[in-house]
Amino acid sequence: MSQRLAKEYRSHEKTLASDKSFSHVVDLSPVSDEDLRSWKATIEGPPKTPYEGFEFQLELKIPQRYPLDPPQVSFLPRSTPHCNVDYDTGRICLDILEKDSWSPAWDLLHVTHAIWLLLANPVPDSPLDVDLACILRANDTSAYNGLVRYYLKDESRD
Amino acid sequence: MKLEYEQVHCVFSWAWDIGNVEDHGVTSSNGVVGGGGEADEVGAIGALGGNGRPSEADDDVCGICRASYNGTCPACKFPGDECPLVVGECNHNFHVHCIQQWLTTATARGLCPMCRQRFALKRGVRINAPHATRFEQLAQERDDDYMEE
Repeated sequence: MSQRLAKEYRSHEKTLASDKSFSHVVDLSPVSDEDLRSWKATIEGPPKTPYEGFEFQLELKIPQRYPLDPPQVSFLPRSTPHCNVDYDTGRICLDILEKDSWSPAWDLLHVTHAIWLLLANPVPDSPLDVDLACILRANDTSAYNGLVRYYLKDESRD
Repeated sequence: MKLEYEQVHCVFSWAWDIGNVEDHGVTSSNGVVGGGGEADEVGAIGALGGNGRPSEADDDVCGICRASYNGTCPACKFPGDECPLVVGECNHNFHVHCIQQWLTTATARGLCPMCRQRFALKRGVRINAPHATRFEQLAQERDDDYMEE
């Protein structure tokens, strides 16, 4: 299925260069042109969220059976404080990345966009970061935002 | 100026006749657009871009492999009868090899990748006919699996 990945490469390059509605996706490309099974992405933190002003890196691993199986996507370790992200490993909990909800009609740009939306819309009911989820469940948005900012700034200092 | 022909290449163009429900508002019961004989092909090609050549627009590619409907799925070398298309009840089209491969995965749950409705072949479409039995069998196997659960 690497023909499809080559097509995606060309099509995403074109979309990112011309379509302003994807301006939050700074980069989406294979790590090297030699191997289309390993991609990287950079997304901007969504506006009006504590992530605004920061950029986030994603690693996308494409399985042999893609697009029948979903890509495996994670943030860089210790980069993203979010209740659906394991901070230490960068693992992401998002339904469309699971086999049961994945559809081969989606592509790597859809997935990257979905993760950007997840940043702005945390789902505390399926948490990977229990502490952040608890704060959200208590409806303490300002504490959540404050804690996220604290982690982000701490991260950008070193 | 004098021109000399060195070689002559015969070129032809073809396209799957899958109708075009959105654009034309009509699709005849046997899936043929246009009249009989050669006019069929002209009608079908006209529906795919008007310049006698299938366009590479987004909706002209298989949603699973992203290759043109008139090309092949990634497993095949020759387009046409060796790598045919099927039309779903939901009007989504795929290379038969692509959609079969998807429907045999457990996680597909028999759903169309595009619209998540149960995928079944559209009735009365000529290009679907050779695959009807296989798809009924797939649906049957899936129902059996559900019964066991």
